[in-house]
Amino acid sequence: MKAWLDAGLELGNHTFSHRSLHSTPLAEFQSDVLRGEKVLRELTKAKGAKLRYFRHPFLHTGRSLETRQAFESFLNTHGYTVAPVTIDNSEWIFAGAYDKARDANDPAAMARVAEAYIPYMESYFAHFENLSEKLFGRQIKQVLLLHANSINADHFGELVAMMKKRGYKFITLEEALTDNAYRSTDTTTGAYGISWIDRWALTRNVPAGFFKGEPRTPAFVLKLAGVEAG
Amino acid sequence: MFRRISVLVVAALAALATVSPAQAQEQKQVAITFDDLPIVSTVHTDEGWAEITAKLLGTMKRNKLPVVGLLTKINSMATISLIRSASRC
Repeated sequence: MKAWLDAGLELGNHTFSHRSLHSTPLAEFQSDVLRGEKVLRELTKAKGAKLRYFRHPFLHTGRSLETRQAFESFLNTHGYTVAPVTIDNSEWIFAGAYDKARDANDPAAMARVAEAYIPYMESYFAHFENLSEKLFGRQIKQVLLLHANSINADHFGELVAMMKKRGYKFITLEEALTDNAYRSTDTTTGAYGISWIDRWALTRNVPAGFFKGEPRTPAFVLKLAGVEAG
Repeated sequence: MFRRISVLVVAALAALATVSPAQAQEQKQVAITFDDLPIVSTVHTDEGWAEITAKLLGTMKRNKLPVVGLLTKINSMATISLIRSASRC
């Protein structure tokens, strides 16, 4: 973790044990946030780094408005800003398939997964650019969700090249959150963990067709990862 | 002369025509975030984790990417060992 801080990257709180706010009582969930903070404080204090972002595990933000609001005011009290995600995706399924292929000493399968990974991620960018245009009439400052896994260790550079090719400039999360889109109302309480663009759209009661065109994970990747659907 | 000017004007208009739509279009911007730090993988050795971390950080540094990493699963043995080894640095 020190390596991340040394590299000038900012660390945020994602709870101590990655439980869901949808299945964990609020008080327990909050103490899990504070448990996570203990370790983070030690790490960030030594570097004089800030600790200001919180991300909900599974992007689960609560099953009732009361829980959502109570938790958000808890975050406020503890100096946290929610780190939303707009370009949500199932990159973790590709990562699972890639790991399984590597563990099975199958470089051909690893290559097939990696080859499908970049176009898949690009289709997600296209999808959320489209929804951004439909909902806001412009390209909002996006927030991409990835994981620190093997497929990104080996192919993150290609992902960066793809984003550059699409005309993206890389900004801090702080800068992204200055976009007014992030002041949009979100009153969603469904049993899902989804993009904030989807949440703002659901809150605005858009017709179901609005969400059409969400990319699918290729069947061979799902199968290799041992995941039912994605 | 007129001809020369008109060629220049045409050239300038052509340049505008190709540049302005691109300028009119907002610059696309993205903030990159990594969840579940330190690592999510079936790799569980210290060396494996160090390699994944080094590769990711290498790409971030080469491209000067401002990234936020969200830390969790701090209860796993591997995380504790990584934090211990990091604190020795």
